[in-house]
Amino acid sequence: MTATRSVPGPARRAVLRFARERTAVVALAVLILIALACLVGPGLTGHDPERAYPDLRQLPAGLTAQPDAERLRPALERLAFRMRARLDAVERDGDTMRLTLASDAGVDRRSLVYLPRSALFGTPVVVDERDGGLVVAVPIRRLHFPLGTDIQGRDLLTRCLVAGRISLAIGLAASLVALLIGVAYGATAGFVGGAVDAAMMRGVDVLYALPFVFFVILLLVFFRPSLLLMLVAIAAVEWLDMARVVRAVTLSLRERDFVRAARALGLGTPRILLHHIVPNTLGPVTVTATLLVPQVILLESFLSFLGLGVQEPQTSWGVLIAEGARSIEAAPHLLAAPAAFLIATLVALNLIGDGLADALDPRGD
Amino acid sequence: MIRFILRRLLQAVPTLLAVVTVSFFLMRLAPGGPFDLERPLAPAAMENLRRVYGLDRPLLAQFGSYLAALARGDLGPSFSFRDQNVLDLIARGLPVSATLGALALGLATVLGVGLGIAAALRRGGFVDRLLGFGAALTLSLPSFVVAPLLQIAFGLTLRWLPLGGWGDGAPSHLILPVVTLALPQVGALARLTRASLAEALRTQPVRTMRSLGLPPARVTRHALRGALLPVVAYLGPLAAALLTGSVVVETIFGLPGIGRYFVEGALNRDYTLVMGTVLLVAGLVILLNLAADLACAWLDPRLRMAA
Repeated sequence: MTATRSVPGPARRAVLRFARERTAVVALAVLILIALACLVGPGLTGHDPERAYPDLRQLPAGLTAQPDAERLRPALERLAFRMRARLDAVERDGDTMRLTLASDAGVDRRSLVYLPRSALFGTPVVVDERDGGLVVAVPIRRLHFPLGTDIQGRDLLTRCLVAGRISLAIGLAASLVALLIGVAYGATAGFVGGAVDAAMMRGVDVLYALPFVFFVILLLVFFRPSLLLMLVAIAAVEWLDMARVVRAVTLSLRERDFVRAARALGLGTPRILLHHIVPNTLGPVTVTATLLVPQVILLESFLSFLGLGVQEPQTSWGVLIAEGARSIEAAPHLLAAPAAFLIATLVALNLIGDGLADALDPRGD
Repeated sequence: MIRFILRRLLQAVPTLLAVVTVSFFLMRLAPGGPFDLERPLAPAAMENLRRVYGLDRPLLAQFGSYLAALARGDLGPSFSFRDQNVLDLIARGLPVSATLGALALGLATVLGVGLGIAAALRRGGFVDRLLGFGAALTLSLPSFVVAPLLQIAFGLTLRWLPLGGWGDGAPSHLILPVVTLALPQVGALARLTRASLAEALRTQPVRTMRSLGLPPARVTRHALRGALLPVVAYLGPLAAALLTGSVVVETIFGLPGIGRYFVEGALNRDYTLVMGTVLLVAGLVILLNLAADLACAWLDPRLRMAA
């Protein structure tokens, strides 16, 4: 078998070289983990992202089952008040509570429905009934909030994961649009060359000089913010770098023999671009795109932070960070959790980009 | 040289015109107006206001008179700050943004270029390895996360520095915003400097100098001159971005700078204020890019010939 072993092709060599960049590989693993968690995680946490637990607001991060001993009594008091009853006695027996409810007007059995409705308790069973009062056995639900809850009592982990879906989706989608525009524009300018190239790149220079972030903010303030508008606005800003990179590579490819041969064979410009130029720009394009995604995600969360991006009930990391920043004194974990997700993702993407740049650098061998 | 500068300034005119046109019509085509309040005004009052500010005239006529006023250097009255000219507001906001920006630019340049040089001179050394991760980290720290964290740490917990406000430019009020603005740029500048200098140290002339036995400090100084080109080119747009103020940093720290006026203007549909701030930013971007190009030409004689 050794006789037929072939020399690895350039793509495979790049993969092998990338595999040697330890930091980048770890970063890739982290990124895949975050993406997977965002994709399937919200179904596994046991909470709906919109489900609010009014009795468990702003819980700190922790692994203890909720409601814990400290929050049980106040929650019961509030429920009893709603049931128009007095809590005469509370006994805890493992995971069941024995409540003695009393009231001058008699306790209405129908009001027991408040207990399961609070989502903190299971279905109550009436054990005993005496002088208008009730003795009720009710199981305590065991809820887990690994990252705590937000100001409305919603599970922060679930919300971070759901927000990650939006942030990552926008990051990928806007980068893809920017990539398509940039590659098409850059390849055309570089390949056609001459006055067309000069005019096209002069246009890019002019666009570079525009205060684009200001335009994006204007667009989103004056027209109602929507996902689509934000996607378009971000893509319109971020294609410039890609166009420059692709043009530079195309300029050097244009004079190579295989391109000349294609032209001598009478191939049209679109075909040469599509089959000979663009595939050969893939290396630098991959690096630029990998570094583009974190920029896009950062811009999206920046806009969402200002209240101009993703709108309720949808949420993104930027939205959650804005919420966290508002209540940072009372509950710093509300800022820390989504910020950690965002920063981990951005660092991972930047490190992968660096690793790819090293792996695809032809001088690296 | 003078002709090069003049040509570049002349080229800026169509760019600025494009900025004015796009922002003017973008705002006017959007629904809503500067006098839409929570409680609607009486129709007669609305009519009067619109007439006073000339909003009842055809859109193109309004655009024409705005351009005519602009040519005279008049940015018009503000819609939301009563009895104030946009020019006055900018004159008040620009010093705040410029102070912050200049300090942040200085801090980022000194730290970033310094770390970059240290990393390039000792490839694989401590600073170099630190930068591999550190640069990616600072690039990934959004200012809207850093700012609240700094506020918590130094403002609330340690109580060393004020949480926000301008405080007439007192140094203690400047530290947190400047650090927030500079931090992401330290990583970017360090990485750029390191890559560029490492490349320059590999070139033939530098190797020759070294083989001739010139002292290492002189060799480095020589290589550095060429290696700083991309760094200087990057500083142009960076300076523009920092000097005109970061919208987020000014909002979080409650600083009355250009970015703040822009956001307030946009939220209140203050057409003239928005136009004024956007124009200012665009103009500064162009000027500072020109300055960066001139600095590059000074560093590299070949570029001087081309210009």
